[in-house]
Amino acid sequence: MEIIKVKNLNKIYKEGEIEVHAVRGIDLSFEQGEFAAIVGPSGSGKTTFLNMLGGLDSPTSGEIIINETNIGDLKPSSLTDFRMNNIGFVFQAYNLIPVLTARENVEFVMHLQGKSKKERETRAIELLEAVGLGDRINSRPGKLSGGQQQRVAIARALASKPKFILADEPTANLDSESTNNLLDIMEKLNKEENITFIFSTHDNRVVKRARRVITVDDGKIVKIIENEK
Amino acid sequence: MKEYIIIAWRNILRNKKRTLITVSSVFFATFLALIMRSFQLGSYDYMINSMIESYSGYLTVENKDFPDEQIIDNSIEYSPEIISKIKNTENIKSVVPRLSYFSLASFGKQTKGILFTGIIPYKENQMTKLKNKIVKFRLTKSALSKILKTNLSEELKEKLKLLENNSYSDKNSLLTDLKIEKETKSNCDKTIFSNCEYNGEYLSENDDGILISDRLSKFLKINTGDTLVMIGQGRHGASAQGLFAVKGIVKILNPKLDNLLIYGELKTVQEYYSAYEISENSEDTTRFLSTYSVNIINKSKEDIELTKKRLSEVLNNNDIIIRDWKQSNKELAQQINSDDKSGQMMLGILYIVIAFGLFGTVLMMTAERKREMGIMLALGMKKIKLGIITTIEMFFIAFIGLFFGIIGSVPIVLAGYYNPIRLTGDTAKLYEDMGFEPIMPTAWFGEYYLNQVIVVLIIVLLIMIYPVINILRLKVIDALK
Repeated sequence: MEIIKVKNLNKIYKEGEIEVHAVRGIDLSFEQGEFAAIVGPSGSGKTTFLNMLGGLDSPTSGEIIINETNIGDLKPSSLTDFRMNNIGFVFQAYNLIPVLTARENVEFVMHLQGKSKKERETRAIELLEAVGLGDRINSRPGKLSGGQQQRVAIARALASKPKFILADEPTANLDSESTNNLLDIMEKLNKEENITFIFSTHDNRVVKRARRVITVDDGKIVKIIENEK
Repeated sequence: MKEYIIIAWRNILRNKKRTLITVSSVFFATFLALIMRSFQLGSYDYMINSMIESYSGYLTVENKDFPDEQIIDNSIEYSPEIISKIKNTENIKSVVPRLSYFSLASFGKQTKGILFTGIIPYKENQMTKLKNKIVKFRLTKSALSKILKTNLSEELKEKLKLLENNSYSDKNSLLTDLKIEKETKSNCDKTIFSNCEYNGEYLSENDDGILISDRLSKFLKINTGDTLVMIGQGRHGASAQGLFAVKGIVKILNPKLDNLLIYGELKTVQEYYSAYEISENSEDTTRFLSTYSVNIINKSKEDIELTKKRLSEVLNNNDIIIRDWKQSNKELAQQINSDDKSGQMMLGILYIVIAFGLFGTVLMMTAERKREMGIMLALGMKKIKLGIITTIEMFFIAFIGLFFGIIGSVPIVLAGYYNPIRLTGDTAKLYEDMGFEPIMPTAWFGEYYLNQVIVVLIIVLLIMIYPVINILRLKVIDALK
C-alpha cells in the first residue's frame, strides 16, 4: 500500500542573488513497510528531501501526499498535528530533550497527543524495553552513550505510532557495534510490526541492509536499486 | 501543565551558575528596593506622626478666610456645639480647639518670634499626649559635671559628654541614647537621674503659666520658674502683651516646632490676643480660635477625603473650611512628595537592573536552546506552549529572587522599625535644618511589599514579549540547522 507519493518536488534556496536548486523535480513513492535508504554525497539534497517529506521544510513547487493528504495544503498548526500523529523522526545528533529522562523523552510526544499518564508510561517502558534500554528508563540523555541515546530517539519516534519514520543519518555518530545494534532493532521493528523506515545516509552498513536504495545527486534521483532480502 | 512546569524547573537547573546570577540580580534589586522604600516610607510616617498626628491633626476646621490670610482676625468661633458635631462624625478620633498665632517672646537678652498656642490642657493631652513630653531630665553643664564625678565607667562618661544639653521626658529615652544594658540600669538612678532631674509640670485648667518647647527654651536660655515677656498683636489691632511664668519645658518631636512653640491655657491665650467679643445685648462672651484640629481613625487618602466631605455636610456652614494636612502643611506635603519622587526614580533604576538581568538571561536561554526548541516543534509541540514553558522559567527565577529578597529584607525592616537609625553629624544637622528629627525608622510591612511583587512580575511579563515573539516566528527547519 502506497503511503507517500511525491510529485515533481522542487526546492530552490536563495543565497543572496544566487539560486541554489537543492531538489529538482523528484517523483517518488513509498509503500507501507519499506526499509529504504536515500544516499548521495554531501550537498546532494537528500536531507532537504527528507525534511520536506517530514513537513519540516516546504517545497518551492510540487506535492507531497501522505495517506491521501497533501501536506502543502495544511496550515502550520494542522501540519504540526499531522506531523505529530503520522511521522516519527530520528536525527543524526539524537536530539533528545536533555532535561528529561529516557522515559520522559519517549512520553513527550504521547503527552502532546493527549494520551493518559498510564498509557504513556506503559508504552514508553514497552518501547524502551524493545530497544534494549529497559534498565535505563530513568537515565537522562547525558548519562547515556551515543548508541543508547539514538535507541531512545527510535523509541521516541515510535511512541506516537507514526505511519513512517524518517531517520536523517541515524548512524553517523555511532561506532560499528552501536550501528549494528541499532539497525537490528530497526529491521526487527520493520519486519515484525511493518513500520516504514526511510533513511538518509552515506553509511554503507545502512545501505547494505536497506531493501531499496535511492541515490540522489545534485537534487535529482539518479538511481534506484531494489535489494533482495 | 504539570509536565511543562517540570521541564521549566529542570531547565532553570540546567545552567545553575546563570540561574544563580539572574536570581541574584532579582534578589538584590528587590532587597534594596524594599529596604530603600521602607526607610523612605518610615521617615514619612515619622514626619507625619511628629508634625500631623502629634500637633496639627489630619484635618483642620477653620474660618474660610484663614488659609489665605492667617491672621487673628480670620479666626473661628469657639463653640462646644461645633466640637460635639465634629466628634460625632464617623472616623473622628479626637478634636481639640486651638488658638495659635505668632508673637515675640523675650527673656534676658534673647528675643525670638514664637507661636503662642492656646489649648485646653486635658483635651490636648488626650490627643497629642503633651503631658508625656514634659522634660524630666536635662543634661545641663552643671548636672553633667556632678554626674562625671560619680563612679560611672569611663565609657559611659564619654557617652554622657556627647549628650550635653540634651533633654529627656523619661528615663528610657536617656537610657536608649546611652545604649545601656538592662542589668546596669539600676545603678543609673543614683548616678545619673538624680543629678539631672528637671522640674516641670503640665498646665492645669485656668492656668496662667506656659509650657515652652525645649529648643526654644535653650535659645531663650529660660528655665522653669522664670518669667517670659511676650508682645504681639491681638484681634482687631489690639495690642497683646503679657508676662508668663514657665511651668514646664516640652520636648516636641518635630525640631522646627520644638524651636517655635509656646503653650498656654486656651482662655489665657484668648485674653492675651483679645480673641473674644462681649455681646452688647447680653453678658455672653464669644471666644475665638484659629482652628479645630482633628485626628482621624482611618488615614488613607480616600478616608481623609470622605471624612472631609462628611464634616462639611455636618457643619453645613459656608464660613467654615475643612482642610486636610496636605493643604494645611503644604511645605511638609511638598517635601514628602518631592522626596517620594526621587525615591521612585531610584526604584525605577533598580527595576531596570532587574529587567536587564532577566532580559539577558532570556536572550541567552532562547539563543542557546534554539535547536532544542526546533526538536520540540518538530515532534509536534505548539509554539505557544513552548512560549509558556519559557515564561514559566522566567517566573520561577523571578519568584525565587523575590522570595529571598523579601525574606532578606524582613530582619532589617524589623530592626529599623523597633530601633530606628539615629543620624549624627552633618547629616543630622541637615535633617534638623529641614525641620525633621534626625532619625530614620522603617515602615511596617504593607502595600509596598505587594507593589514590589507586582512590579517585578509585570517586568517579567514585559520582557517575555520578545522571546515569545521569537519563538512564534521560529522556523523549525532553521532551528534544526
